[in-house]
Amino acid sequence: MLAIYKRELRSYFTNMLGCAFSALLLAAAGFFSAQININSAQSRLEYSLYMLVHYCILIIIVPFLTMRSIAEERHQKTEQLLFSLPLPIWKIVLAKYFAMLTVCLIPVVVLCFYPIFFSFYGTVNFVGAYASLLLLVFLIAAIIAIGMFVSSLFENQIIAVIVSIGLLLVLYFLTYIANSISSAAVTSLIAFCCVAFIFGLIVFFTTKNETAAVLCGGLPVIGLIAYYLSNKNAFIGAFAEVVSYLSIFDRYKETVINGLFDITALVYYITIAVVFVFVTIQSVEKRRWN
Amino acid sequence: MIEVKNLTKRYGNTLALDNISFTIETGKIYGLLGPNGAGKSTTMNIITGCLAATSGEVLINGYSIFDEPVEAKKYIGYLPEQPPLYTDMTPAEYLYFVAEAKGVRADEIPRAVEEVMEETGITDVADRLIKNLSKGYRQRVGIAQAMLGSPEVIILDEPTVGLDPQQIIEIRELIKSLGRDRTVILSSHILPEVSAICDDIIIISHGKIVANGPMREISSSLKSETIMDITVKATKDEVTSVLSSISGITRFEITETSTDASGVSTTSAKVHYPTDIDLRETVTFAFSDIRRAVISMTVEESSLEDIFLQLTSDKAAAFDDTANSDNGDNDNVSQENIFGSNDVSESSGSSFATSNADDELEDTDDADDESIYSYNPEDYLATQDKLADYVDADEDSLDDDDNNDNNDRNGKSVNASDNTNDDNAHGKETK
Repeated sequence: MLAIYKRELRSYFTNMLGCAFSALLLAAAGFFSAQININSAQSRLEYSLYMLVHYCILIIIVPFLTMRSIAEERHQKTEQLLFSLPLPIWKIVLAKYFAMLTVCLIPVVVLCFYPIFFSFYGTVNFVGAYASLLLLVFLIAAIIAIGMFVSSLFENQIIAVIVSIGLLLVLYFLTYIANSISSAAVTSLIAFCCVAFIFGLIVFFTTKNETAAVLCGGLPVIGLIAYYLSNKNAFIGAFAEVVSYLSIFDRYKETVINGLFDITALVYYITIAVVFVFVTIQSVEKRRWN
Repeated sequence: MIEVKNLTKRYGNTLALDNISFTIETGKIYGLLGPNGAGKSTTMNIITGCLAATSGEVLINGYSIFDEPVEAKKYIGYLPEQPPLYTDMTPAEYLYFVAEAKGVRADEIPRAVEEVMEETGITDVADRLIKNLSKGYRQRVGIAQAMLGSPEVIILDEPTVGLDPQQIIEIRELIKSLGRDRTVILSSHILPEVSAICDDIIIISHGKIVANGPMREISSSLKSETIMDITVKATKDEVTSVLSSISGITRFEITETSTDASGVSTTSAKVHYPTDIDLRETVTFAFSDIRRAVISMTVEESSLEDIFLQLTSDKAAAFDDTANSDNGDNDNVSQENIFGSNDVSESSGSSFATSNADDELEDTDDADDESIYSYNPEDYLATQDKLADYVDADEDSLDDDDNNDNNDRNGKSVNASDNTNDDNAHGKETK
């Protein structure tokens, strides 16, 4: 497992992807902190960090890091080497995941020095700055897991990067979308049913099993309708509420802007990372079953 | 030791492997042989754990590849059809990585890497990037990778595909040397290659094992016939009447007849008779009785191709699919032929595709001719009942350097130029 981790890490720096990623992230963070922390004489690093999320910088550059993780192995047929190694697949996937996380940690480590520099010229809220940085690391960890999962679905890394960015943008704008639909109970019901239907479709296309798909898509719909009939009021505005609760990026904003370190956000990011690493393992494993 | 029991693999509705079982004993070189799409790679991928089976069992030294994959994979080194190389690394780095990933002890890695690099002859290129290496060297790096961790069994999927003749010979030598202290399983669709390297062969056709055992046993278990090519200074009618009077001949056909300016006719014929009798004298005397000179006579034993055809011909319909799909990609010009120069003793064909591995490639030019040698699956289908014609036609296309001339293949075959005959006569029994 360590061997794969080391090889992955090396490859990110031999093909410049890791360097380009670090440079871009640092350039963006540097620009925002020059604008906010220096020009506007605002001592809070967390605002600059939030700009990375707000202007979709992370959404755009992290997928470039994750795009080749599994797609390229498939494309180069090196996955056959990995499959034939005496290593379980979960170790291989985890090694890749941690290698990407390590690449991301490099610019974060550099960012760690920012508050120290700022402290030479004014008062800095160190707790707020480092807490935001910590949460940023976990946010990136969640995004990497999503990107790696998308990469495991495709053989072409360009398609992987486009789909990853698209998916993350949908997640980013999900709250806007959810807020824009009417908060009437029926609309919520329909929206939930659509989600269940899409879930059913995904199950169908990944497993090619009609029964499983109908169960996964149909049962929630029946449950929703039954619940709707018994308690209409619970559905008023419910979809927007659930969506904003699940939104990855809004949680970061709340923590950073309101200065409240939300431990549930941390747990949520870890959960997302674990879930997507798990489905990536399943997706790679499924390749062997064709 | 590898035991494959009742292995079945389905891709959707396609049955890729149909309940196959075989056992691989330690210390031999096995050849997995079959036409394209027969299930060779599928079998190998399943044995090495790269692919899951629909049903069945694979035991490697008693460990099931499905239930205890980590333990089972320790005994196997695998080179897939396309060598799984990270092209942005050097061979040394790559092998170091593989050794580490295979769990070779850290203090033994440098020695292990050094050893396999020496054995595969890649020490010279150890510090060049893999992407800058030739196909032959990449293949060696792939084999070196499979050898790391000293597995008992090395599995090579079509190790010589896409290499030039010189490289093919080198890789074959390498495989033979591997086979001295390890079990090697290799797959190929090139028959002479398998017979040159392997102790045992397993022939797969359409997901089924059609023959399994030592080369000799397989060939002796099948009825074979001898094919005699003769050229006589006589007219077609004379040849026909003489040949029909000889008992023992199963069938014969006149392949070419010509009359020169002075009115002397020359006729070539192809005579088939069972291997257990020898008709060379009878035929010669029969012609001398009517004072007609036999100018050339060559005799071929039925060879691997016959075996292969006998074993797979009853599946002609399914083979058709394979052939068509091969044909579909239109760039099959340099595809090597399963029937490539089957007659080992022939002088003009003594190159990499012969089964006579020891004196392979004395003349590189010949070998180059062979490497551009093409094979059109449709032609193969059209002629699979007339194998001998085919082989002759192949010789023609070699001599003519005209690989696309289908007429040569299907039709009247022998190019009766003296030059060709002389060439052919050298390595053969001539009267």
